[in-house]
Amino acid sequence: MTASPAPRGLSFSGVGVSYDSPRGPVPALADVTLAIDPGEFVAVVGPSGCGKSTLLKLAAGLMAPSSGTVTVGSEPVTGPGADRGVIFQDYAIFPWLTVEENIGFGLTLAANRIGAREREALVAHYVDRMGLTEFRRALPKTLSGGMRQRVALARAYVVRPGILLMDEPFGALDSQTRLAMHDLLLGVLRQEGTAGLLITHSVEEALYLASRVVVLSARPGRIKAVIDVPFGHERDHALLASPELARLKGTITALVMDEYRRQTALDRRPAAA
Amino acid sequence: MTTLAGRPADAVRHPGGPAIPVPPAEATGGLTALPLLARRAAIILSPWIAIAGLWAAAAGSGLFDPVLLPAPPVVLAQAVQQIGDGRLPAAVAASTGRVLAGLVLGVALAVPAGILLGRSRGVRLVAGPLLGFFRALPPIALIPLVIVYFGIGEAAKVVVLTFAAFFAAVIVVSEGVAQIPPLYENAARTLGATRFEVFRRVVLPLALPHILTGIRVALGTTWATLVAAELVAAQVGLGATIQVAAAFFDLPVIYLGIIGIGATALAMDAGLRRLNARLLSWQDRRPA
Repeated sequence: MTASPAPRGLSFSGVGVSYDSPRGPVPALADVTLAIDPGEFVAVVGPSGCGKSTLLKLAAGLMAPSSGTVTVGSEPVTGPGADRGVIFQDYAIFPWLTVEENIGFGLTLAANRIGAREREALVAHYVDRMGLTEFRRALPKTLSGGMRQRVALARAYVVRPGILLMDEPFGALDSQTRLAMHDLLLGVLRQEGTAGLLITHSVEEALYLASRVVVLSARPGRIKAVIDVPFGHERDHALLASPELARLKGTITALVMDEYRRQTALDRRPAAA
Repeated sequence: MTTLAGRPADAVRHPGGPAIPVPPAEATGGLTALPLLARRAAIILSPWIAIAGLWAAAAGSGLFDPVLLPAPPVVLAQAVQQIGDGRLPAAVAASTGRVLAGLVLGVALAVPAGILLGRSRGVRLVAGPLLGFFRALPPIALIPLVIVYFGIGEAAKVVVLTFAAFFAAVIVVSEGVAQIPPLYENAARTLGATRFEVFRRVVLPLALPHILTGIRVALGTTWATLVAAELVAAQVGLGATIQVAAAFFDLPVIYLGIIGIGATALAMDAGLRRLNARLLSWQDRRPA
């Protein structure tokens, strides 16, 4: 598995999800059709509770859709797999393993096993790339949020997934660390041509990282808008001050806020009834 | 292992374990080392001294018949005598052996059972009520049956202790395993782990703290059941010592037996806590 994987896209077609509840099925996502091309970076924004994270779980194979299909390349997703890396909201790095052991974890599994020497070299490479050399033998409990985040990124990345799925991974970081992580992430993804699907609350973050921003509607989440981001591959922080970004941010924020108000109204209704 | 002495508590729970209990002493110079150690010892010993003091005061007050409440020196003399003639060491050895046998067997059964119960709703549905039924039975109630089926040898005593250890540990392990969040398992699955790999590489490490707690709880229960187990025709053992002394109304020996059980259990628990600190140094928790 050390060779780069064949670039494969991810697509949702007519995907719907509903949860069972005592009062019958509650729809969470409805009729989502979206294709992420190989190497493309797509960000999804929308009000809380609109089903953003559900979308990511479907792609990861941690959940099955109630209707429609999710496919990677040409194969339907039937479960989790090393071809789709996931960075979880709370990182989920293994607390009983050191930084090195966490990063190398995927490479010791039967699905991606490589020789010990090759593994050590690859782990050392990512430890260095993430600036964790000094902490390579440290346990997660001693790491800062930013360092845990970098361990999680390296752990997901070391098995060379074709696409990286990220569920609000930067939410808990301070703003400087977040900016640094954005650049690290973009650098790593570009290097291998890995695609990205990012769930985020931050419209600015979405615009800075993605080539397309998807706005989900209030529950049940549907695709309300898809905005092409007209910035090229090379992005730096000067972009954050550009009028173009400010304009797009305004447009998208207005869309999200519309849905936020609808969502809030929805959330109130059952209590009033 | 208490750290009330006001020094950085992490010194005690470092993965390196035993060698490091008091590094601050070196850092602050040799002179302060002794007071620090002495202070720590005083803090650890103070409740024991208080109990002994109260006991001595009660015995010396003249309010109680000395036959009913022997003074500490009388019990101490009894201890010295029984250590001298080898009876106390033999009793401690016999009882510790039984407790360990029961603990090892009980925990060996409880760990797989607890993991199954904690992981599988089906197993919990079928076996949960059974567990509740047997768990409520005091081991002493089983003794007549145990004698019928296992006779009056060592096996019978170990069966009673195994029973006690199993039911104490299985609850702790199953509840603990049931509370393991799916987060880490999901993370491993997205890296390509098979079901077996998830179990061995993620569930087992996360179950270990609960297994160790289960062992500690079972250790307490097993010692508590010892006297009952040694009702099955034991000649030697701390429980047997107490029973024989009871027949002769020999209260100093009863006290000696009780103190012997408590002290031995305390020593074993201290060992287990050390093991805990070693194996679970990764846990981000309040230093013990």
